[in-house]
Amino acid sequence: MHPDTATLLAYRDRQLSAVAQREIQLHIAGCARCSAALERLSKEWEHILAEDAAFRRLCAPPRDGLDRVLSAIRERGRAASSTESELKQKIVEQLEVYFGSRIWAVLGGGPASEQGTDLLAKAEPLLTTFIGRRAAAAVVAEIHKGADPRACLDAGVM
Amino acid sequence: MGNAFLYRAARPAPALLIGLTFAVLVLGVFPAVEWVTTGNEGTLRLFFDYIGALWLIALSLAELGFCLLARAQFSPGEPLRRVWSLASLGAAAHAVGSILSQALGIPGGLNPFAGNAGWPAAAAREWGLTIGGPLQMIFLASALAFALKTYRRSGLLPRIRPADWALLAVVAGFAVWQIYEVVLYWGPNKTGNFHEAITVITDPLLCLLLAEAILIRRSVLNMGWGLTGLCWSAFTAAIFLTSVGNIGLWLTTNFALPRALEASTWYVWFLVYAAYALAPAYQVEACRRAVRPLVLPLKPALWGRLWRPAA
Repeated sequence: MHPDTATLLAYRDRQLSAVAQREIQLHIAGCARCSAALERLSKEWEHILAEDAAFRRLCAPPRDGLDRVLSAIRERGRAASSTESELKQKIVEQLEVYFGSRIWAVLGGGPASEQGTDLLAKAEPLLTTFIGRRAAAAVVAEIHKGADPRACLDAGVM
Repeated sequence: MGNAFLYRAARPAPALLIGLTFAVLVLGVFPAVEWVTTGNEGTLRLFFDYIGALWLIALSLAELGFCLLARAQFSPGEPLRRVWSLASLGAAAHAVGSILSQALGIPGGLNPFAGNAGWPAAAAREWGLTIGGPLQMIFLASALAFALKTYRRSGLLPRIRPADWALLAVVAGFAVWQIYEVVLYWGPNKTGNFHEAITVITDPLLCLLLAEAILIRRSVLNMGWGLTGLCWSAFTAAIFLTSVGNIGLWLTTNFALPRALEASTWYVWFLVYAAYALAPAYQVEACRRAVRPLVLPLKPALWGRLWRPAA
């Protein structure tokens, strides 16, 4: 009786008992079919090992990996912070054009103490009420114009 | 092409209105100086019957046009849509009143029917003063009441300060005194025509407008001077100047004023009309700044037809 694939693999990895190992060795020596099957399995196994090694090499972290990751995080943080201040500046400018320079004192809060999103949440309904829905939408679009969408996402604006 | 012309024409509107009114006032100073110094009123009459009347009518038509344009910037259901609808009705009343009282209601000047003996100029003038006076004020007072409501809902109406309370008290006192005078005037034996009856509500209405103007003024002062604030400030200025003009009329009627002072009270009305036209012009300017092109009150196709009539 010919051994199955699992037994052949176990034989190849020397995981069988000494008696079973000896029996399979004797069988393979006299059976061309099982000998060919064992050879094919060995080749396939080596191929798998080679692929795995290549994949591991590809995914291995570079030596300066942590530094690079930290640097990218800092860069994104700076971009988000810059967009946040630009956004605030645009909201302040637009609202002051339409309502006056002391509008923040009337509304409470203001650019010094609030996030851009909060300022926009206050500005948008005011603009809609006093210059109309269409004009307000145009002003809000103007505020967002030129802002990096990824940085806006980071700042929680979009 | 028609639309493009209108957009461009609406662009420098506030500056143009101020500049031209200033030019008309400068032009009007010369005949006034001549009248004050020599007593010759020919040039002065010529100025008020033609240039003055024409400019007042032009300003009231500009006011109507800008009000309609401002109304068109708001969709139905938006709070300021109702405000500008009422303001447009007020402006229409103002324009009709101006045409009747400044042109059709005078025996010469711009009146094309001046030579017609059967033309009821006096009646036209009376109707002009009624339509352009109390009727316009009713619409404007309603518009400002809704504007104040919008300011309050938006959290932009501040607490009224003691100085405002004092002003409001003065205005209220004046209103009570006016009502008392009206009651005295309309005693049990008094009979009068429709115009007299409706004209007596002018002063109480003006008091109501002044009270609204004081509240709006406080709000605008608190915020600083934005474009929307300028719009309501112009209405406020128009109302205050109307009071000044009315006081001038009252003084002229009841006292022998020096000529220079008397003449100066006539020129106030140019400022009143200019301020009424400036108010919607600032609103339109605010919307224009955000959106180009503006929304026109009529469909563009219709404008096209107006500018290029079909063959």
